[in-house]
Amino acid sequence: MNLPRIVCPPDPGLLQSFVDRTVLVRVPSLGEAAAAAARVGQSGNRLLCVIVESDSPLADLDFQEDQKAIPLAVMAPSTGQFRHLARQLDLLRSFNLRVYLPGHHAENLVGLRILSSVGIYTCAVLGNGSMDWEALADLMTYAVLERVPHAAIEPFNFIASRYDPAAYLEWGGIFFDDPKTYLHLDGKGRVALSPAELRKKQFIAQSIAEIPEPAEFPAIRERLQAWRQYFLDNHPCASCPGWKICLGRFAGDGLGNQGCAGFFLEMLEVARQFKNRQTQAEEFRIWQP
Amino acid sequence: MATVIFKPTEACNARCIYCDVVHKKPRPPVIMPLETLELFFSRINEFLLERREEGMEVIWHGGEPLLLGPDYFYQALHFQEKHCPETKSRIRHSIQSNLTRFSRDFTEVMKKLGITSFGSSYDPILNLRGLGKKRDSQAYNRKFMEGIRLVEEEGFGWGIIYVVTKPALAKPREIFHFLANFSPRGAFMFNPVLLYDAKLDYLKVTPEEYTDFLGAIFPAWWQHREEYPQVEPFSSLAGNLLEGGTSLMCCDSGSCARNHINVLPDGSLSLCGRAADWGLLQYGSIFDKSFAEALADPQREVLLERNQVLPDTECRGCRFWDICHGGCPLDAWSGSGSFLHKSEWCHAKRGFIEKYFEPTVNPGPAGGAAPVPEPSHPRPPSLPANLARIGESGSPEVPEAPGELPWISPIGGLGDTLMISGVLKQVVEKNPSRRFNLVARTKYRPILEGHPAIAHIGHPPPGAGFVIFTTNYWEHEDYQRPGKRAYQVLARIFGLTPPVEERLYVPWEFQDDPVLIKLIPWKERNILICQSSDSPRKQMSLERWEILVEMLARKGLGVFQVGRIKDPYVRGAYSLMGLTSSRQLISLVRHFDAVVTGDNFLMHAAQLCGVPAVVLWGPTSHRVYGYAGQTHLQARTECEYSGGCIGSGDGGHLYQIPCPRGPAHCLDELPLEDIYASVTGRLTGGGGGS
Repeated sequence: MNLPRIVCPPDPGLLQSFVDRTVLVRVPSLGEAAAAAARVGQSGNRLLCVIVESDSPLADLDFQEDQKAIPLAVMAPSTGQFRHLARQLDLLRSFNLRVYLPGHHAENLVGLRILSSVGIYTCAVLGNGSMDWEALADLMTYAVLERVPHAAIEPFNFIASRYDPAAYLEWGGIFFDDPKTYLHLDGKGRVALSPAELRKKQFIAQSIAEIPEPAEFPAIRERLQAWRQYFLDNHPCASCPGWKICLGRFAGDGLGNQGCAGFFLEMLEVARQFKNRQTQAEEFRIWQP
Repeated sequence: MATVIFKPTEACNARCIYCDVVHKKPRPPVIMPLETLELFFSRINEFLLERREEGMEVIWHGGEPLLLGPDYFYQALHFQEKHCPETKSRIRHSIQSNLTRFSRDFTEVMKKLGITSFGSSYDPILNLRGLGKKRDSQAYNRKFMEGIRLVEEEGFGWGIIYVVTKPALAKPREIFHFLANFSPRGAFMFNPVLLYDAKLDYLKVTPEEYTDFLGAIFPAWWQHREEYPQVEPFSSLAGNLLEGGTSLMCCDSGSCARNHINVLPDGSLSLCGRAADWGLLQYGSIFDKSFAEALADPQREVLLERNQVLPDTECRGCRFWDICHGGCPLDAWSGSGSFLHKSEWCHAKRGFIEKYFEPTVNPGPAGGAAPVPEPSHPRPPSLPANLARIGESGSPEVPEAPGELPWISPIGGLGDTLMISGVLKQVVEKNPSRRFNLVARTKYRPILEGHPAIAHIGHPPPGAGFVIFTTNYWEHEDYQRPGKRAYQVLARIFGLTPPVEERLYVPWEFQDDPVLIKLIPWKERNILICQSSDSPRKQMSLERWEILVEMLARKGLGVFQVGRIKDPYVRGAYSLMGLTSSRQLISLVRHFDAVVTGDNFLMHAAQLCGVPAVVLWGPTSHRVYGYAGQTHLQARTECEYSGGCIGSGDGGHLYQIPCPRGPAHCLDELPLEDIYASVTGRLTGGGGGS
């Protein structure tokens, strides 16, 4: 197992408590991104991206030319007023940026589609509130199959391009929710397995130093094997045709299993179509005289 | 290969409700003594030294073989090294285990024995499988899951046998998806529960119930069979019925008499595990019999006799004899008290094939089920030049193994596909049992899917050595002869004797797209045109098409253009380009009063649909491709290629290259007035002709 990437605040002392790791730093505002990125470089670690956890809509953020070089994951509650956003579009398109919006708001699904259509890379954060599965399926179909040029919308493009019928596909890493790839540290260096557990202060270790072998660390090991419990319990998710690309992600929170099953079944079909397209030249789609 | 079902112990930590072994009174010794184990390997060596071309598969079975512990397996390995130095390379070990006792301590010795995978069993339904006398399902399932995890971490594969019981009948799809989800890289197999105790009647399934259970799952498997792991009996049935295999599992092989031996902990020998459980077909002991002697035991004669008797009695005329052989002889015995009958599960197998397999796999042109081909197929009538074995560049050969279906590798344009479809229709009309497999290529599938001559569309397995037809008729020697016609050359390739009637055919019903039909601004008379072609040399210039369209429009005709979305647009025509699939286009053609086109798919589609067509010919000849009844306007070729630059075999390299003569390109020499007159003539009922 590779060492998981570390997601933490840009505290200089904390960053210097480990070396030669791939790091993502969390900041509450865009204005702090540049300084945070610089601190990672000074600490002897590698920066993957700066996660901007903004309370403000995307349109209200003040993107500046000198932020272009920073790899950014901007998490905003919504897109905000598009007329404000439109003024910054040219600049945003030149950024190394992915915009994250909560997927459980209908207007965000529209916003994600608009951003994608104007060339901004985006991600719908799923699993946090009740989903409009049909609207999500529409967005997913647009993201993966639409032939008009548009930027990728995650996690759909990730799922479609990585789907392997002979394996399970874990895609929580797209929004940093996969303990195999990301561990989350608070300001004191305590380790949580996911952003949600970090918020709830559910820690598995007091410091990253306690986890020299992540694959053997009981809490991580247990989490990575947690899917087996669905089979032990004969949970409905274990018999769902969409299991291999869902892994019961929506089983526990009472978010409406019927809807998620339909969505992931459709996602599978779309992934198959996506693969077919990759193996078949576009000109052969239409009949040949 | 001889197969030994090796039961060094019949003890088991589980008490699965349907298991015969755990319910019978144990017979000492519980574990095969090491002396007997040593003799076992000595007997294997003796057998393999006598039969130097043979191998031996040792299936570790039980009871639960992992109860023996790792040391026992190390002893087995030691005895194999000691007694089989020359023959060990021909010994293959496999194992059937419930995995609840697996630990990393087994890893090394299993790998040294060459075991790479575990066969196991699982059932999400509680109280069927369980540990101890109380049959604790949850404890069993926990330990099983842990075993699976360890097995995976240690690099072994695994597969599951799922035993279908009455409770499972209520949820076949759920069980299928459960197993497919749980075992994405593995394999699983459905078997009906076999119970002989009246107390367990509530678990029994009838052959008909088992048929319906499989039938409920099969369409889901078939639709995405490339994605699901090997699922039995579906994979084997498809392999046998569609790809020419000749046997299902061991119980249907008809050959267990020749190669199966069961060995119990006391060294006693019998045909198989069930025979031993029931005290049948006992062959003595390894203490006094060699494996060769056991395999030659006279009691086996009755099983060989069964293979002679059944084809003339209960299985007479059955088209599945070659793959079924009357089913398991032990099943026959349990049902009738005699081996010389077929198994009662025969109904389940046949019922499944006829009720579910065939209608799903080969729905037939009118939606009705067409039988899949007989397991044994006649040889192709001849082997023309376009016939070769895959993977061989030498001379073609006749397929040796009966039941191997020849493959068609379709190449050429879509118009060629309509000709191929017509030829194949005539082939099955002449010989109703004739079937082919079609190499899957996306553009041909919509035309040929459901064709009565096509059993399966897919890809030949790697290294397959069966016959393949290639549809490149233009490379056939007949194509070079005067008076050649493409359809007739194709007919010869597929074994028909030319001349044959030229009939185009599609194996599906025409179906309009109501949205498209509603979208079209129809006029009183409507013409469909197609300017494009795979070859630029078969295209009249855009400018001339535009003049023609203007002339037609002036007469009040509706002119509509079809083609690919990126084809050049003929101004003045209403574009339907990119809006139709090949099937939709064929259905659409029927709504037009006439077609004006070059030598392309639309020309063939118009002929198929009986729509009058004016066809513009340049470098290719209407004598080779055109149809009687169409109006053919053949341009004179005044260039260096008097026979047409791409019409003959040596002009293939020019096919994709535009004509260098520019405005003097032969097709652009066709008088537009003649084209216009021909079109209007067809609309007023004028006949065809060149």
